[in-house]
Amino acid sequence: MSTSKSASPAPGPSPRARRGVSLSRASRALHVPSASLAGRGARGVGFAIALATSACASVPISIRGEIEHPVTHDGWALTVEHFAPAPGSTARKRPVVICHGILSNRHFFELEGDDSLTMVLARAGFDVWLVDMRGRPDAGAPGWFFGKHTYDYDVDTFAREDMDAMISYVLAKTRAHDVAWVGHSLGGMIAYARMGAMGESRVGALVTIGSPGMFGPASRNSLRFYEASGAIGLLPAFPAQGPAWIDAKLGLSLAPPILTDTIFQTENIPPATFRAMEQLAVNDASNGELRQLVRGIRSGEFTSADGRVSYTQGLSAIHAPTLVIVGRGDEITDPLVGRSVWERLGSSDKELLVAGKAEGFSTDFGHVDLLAGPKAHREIFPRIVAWLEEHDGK
Amino acid sequence: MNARTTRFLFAMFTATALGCAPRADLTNLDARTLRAAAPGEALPMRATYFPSTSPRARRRDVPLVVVEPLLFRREILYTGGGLVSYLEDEGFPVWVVWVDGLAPDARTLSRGIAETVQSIARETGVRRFDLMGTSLGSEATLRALEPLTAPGSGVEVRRMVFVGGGFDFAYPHSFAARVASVRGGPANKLCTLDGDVDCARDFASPAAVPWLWTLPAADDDALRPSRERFPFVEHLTHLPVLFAGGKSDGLAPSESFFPLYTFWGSEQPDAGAVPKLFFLAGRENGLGADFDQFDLFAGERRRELWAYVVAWLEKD
Repeated sequence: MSTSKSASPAPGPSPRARRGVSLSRASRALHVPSASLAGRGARGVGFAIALATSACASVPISIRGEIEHPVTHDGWALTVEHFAPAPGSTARKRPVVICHGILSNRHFFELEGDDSLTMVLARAGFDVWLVDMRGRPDAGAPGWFFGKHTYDYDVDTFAREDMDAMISYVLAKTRAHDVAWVGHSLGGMIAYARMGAMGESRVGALVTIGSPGMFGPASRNSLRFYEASGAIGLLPAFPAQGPAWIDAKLGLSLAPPILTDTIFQTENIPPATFRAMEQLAVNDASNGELRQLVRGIRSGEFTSADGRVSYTQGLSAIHAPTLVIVGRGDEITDPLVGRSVWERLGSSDKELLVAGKAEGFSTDFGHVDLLAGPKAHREIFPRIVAWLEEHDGK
Repeated sequence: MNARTTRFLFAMFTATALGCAPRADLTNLDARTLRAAAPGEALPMRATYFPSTSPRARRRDVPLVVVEPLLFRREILYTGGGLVSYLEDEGFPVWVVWVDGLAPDARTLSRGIAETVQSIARETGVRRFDLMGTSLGSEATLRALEPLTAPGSGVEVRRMVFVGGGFDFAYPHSFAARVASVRGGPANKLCTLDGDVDCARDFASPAAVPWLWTLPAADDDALRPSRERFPFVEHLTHLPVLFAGGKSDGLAPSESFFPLYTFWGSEQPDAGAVPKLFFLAGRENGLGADFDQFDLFAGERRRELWAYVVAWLEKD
């Protein structure tokens, strides 16, 4: 693994510097020239004006870390963003790597500024590293059909290549013995795959949040997703980023309610956070990722893309201390999945946390709001911090 | 008065009093009540028959035996557009099996349920039944399946439904692990376990007072995995079963019945060949809300779930 310095503006010394989204970056996010979206009569002209006007406004992220680009064995320059422990905080031994889920990126952990999990952990003394796996705008920015990189990867690739590069990079920079891996959704799934079936031993503590290590009986919504996957397969990637950005900028509801209802409990996400999420933290997913997940929904088992390796079975080979967090209202990772994963883990030090009203929380947390919104700040983050403090290594 | 209380009052009082919602025929109940007793025990089991008066009754020749929920008084099944009323309206002849007095432990109760079903068969000449376990009565109903599906039982269970039943509490902070704190206490303590801050007011109705002393004990048996507690389930490879629960249910949450669903008929290597179905009552399955335990039986949208159950029962 090698690293390359960021081609983007060098990070400033202040972690509080503001940054925004430029028009050119927004256009890249759409993957299409904005003019092509507008050339459809008067309505299209209005649309173009609105798009151009609104795109000039930037969405601030009030925290910023040091950005570098580890390069994987197969030549993808990824992104890590480093947040050092807050001055005066208790020194911790183990760096914390936070990994996003499918259809998302590292900005998801920055949107809420000082309230974000990133800053909460930094204030608790942790050395925090946000990562962008391949396919994000800052990690390869693949083209649909042409370019240096295309959407020719799947979940296995994240586990085999990207997670390896991230851990190697962080350990090299920190000289720590191992890392604590905090993965949301797919970010936890790749940890299950790599730690359980690829011999990864450099993760000393694992926190998964809404990560399905297996799949329960399909709900109506997941069956619809499954049915739609046939159409999705016609494209190299599922185009979520552009529509989400337009949705946020112009207030056009391009995302069907069934999608938004599935991924979070609406009442737990403030509108401003939701808009920022749509603009900055939504990413396309490769066809390979989706096919692999659909295969899992169909079989009930999380397997390699070719179906030969069962990552679900591999859970028993994970012996690192693990905290499994699931939301009672999560439609993607129901608590029955959390319990099944928790039972299968080989670790003797494992904890299951179901975040729901019956368990004493103020709400039945959904898939995304486990990590965003004021309720997550108050009720979930302290549990993660406390657990990581208890499992800070030797 | 909050929204939940309002809808509850609507469901439990107003509708009943005014007769503006379907209700079961509660006349001559004694004449339609079969008295049975578990052999060797002074367990006063009862079974009350609710013949459907619906025009759709003709299409149903298999009675549905519903075992009372235990968590609530059984009246919640018939009054104010309750489950039995709904089933009657849908054309189901229904037998409600209940215990006259305090319910014993699930093992004793299960023997009483099995004997009562066999008594119904003897009295009526009907041998084929659908069986439904509700809420905390589900565990005893499941246990009753073992003698009822044994050769020579004298009855045939055609389909099995569980609504709001939990069977496997071998995990941290499960209902069985938490229930010790409310046993013998005021009924509204259950609201805490269900995660419903408003439902305490529901217990103002005598129809919804649970029998807290019948709750499963937080002993070693209740906390053992379901495959150890109900090993016979592995052999039920041909009995169609529906596990229906509430997405937001804190008493019998999805993780408390999914292990049994997985284990059901697992003797058959091809899990897809076992006729079993898992359904969470919630928005993810097109229902208007995520149901908690109380919603399954008394919630505003309860009929959305019941319609699903009826559709499944009517499959050939």
